[in-house]
Amino acid sequence: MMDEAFLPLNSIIDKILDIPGDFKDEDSGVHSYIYEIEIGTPIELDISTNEDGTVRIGTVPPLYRVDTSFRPSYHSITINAEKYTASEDGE
Amino acid sequence: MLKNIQHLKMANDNKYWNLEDFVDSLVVELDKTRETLAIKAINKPLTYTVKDLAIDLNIFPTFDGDQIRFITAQPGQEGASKVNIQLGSITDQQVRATTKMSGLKNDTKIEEIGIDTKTQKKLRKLGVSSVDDLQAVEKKQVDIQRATDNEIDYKTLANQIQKSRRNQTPPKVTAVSLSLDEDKRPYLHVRGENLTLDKQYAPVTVINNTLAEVMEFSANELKILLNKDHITQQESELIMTFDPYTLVKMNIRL
Repeated sequence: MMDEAFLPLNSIIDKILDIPGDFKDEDSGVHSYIYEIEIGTPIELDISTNEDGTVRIGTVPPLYRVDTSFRPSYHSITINAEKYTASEDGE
Repeated sequence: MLKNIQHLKMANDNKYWNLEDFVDSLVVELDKTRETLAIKAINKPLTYTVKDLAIDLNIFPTFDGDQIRFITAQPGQEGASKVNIQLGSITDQQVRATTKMSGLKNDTKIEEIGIDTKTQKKLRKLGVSSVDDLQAVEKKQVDIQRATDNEIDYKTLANQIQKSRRNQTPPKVTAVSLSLDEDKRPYLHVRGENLTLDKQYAPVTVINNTLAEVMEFSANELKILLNKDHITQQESELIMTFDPYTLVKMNIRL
């Protein structure tokens, strides 16, 4: 079982990429949007194995911002994302 | 405080894993992200797709004489090795070409066809997440059994798919009546929906543990020839099988 403080990797990626990339200034008639973005963050990992040997990846951004002598092990993830354009048939 | 305890618990549960299994899971997670994206893009015009992804892991490797396995560094542990995994880019066109919409109404997910979790995961690794995907693989003459080193029994899988499809169109009996045929022989006229859907399987009927001859059958009706033994004036048990996945049992008075 994955620790409940952690989320599956795909959920974290979905949340990280769920950004409002539109910038509109109707008064001056400017409309900009982000077409490519790179996001890097330290993460904590909970890697566990199922009974059949497959691996489950649980991730969570660092939970605490306080310096302690007993530090979690921070791994890191860098996601390079670009604007997605759906094709006309919706696929 | 509770989360701290959970973290300590997690650290104790830390287990060794294979790099191959880890990368497989990473790919599956990214596939899921793409599936979500295809749906999200319908309502949200500005969405972002993962072009590439790099993950830095603090790990301790171990070699057991057979294979190298890894364990993630636990809180407070120092001197861990760093492994950097980079998954290459996938273009927008490739996403369109390779990602299909998930959750289509007439598409059956492999989780819904009653196969064991291990087979589901093996299929997912092969990029098969629905019955439609399986059919696409079949069309290309790919032997799934061989592709998975005989870990997937294709015959069992095909049976499960047929069973699942049949479950979506269950037989429904709307009326049962007694009639006489041209030779004045009594027969039981069963009417309904989705009775015999696959012509390669002739229906088999049993009345009170005795086989009864099926005279005619179609998706909407069934005519069962009766003999003297069948007509008892008492409640009789009628069992009808329309294919290997469907069995209808009912009590009637003949």
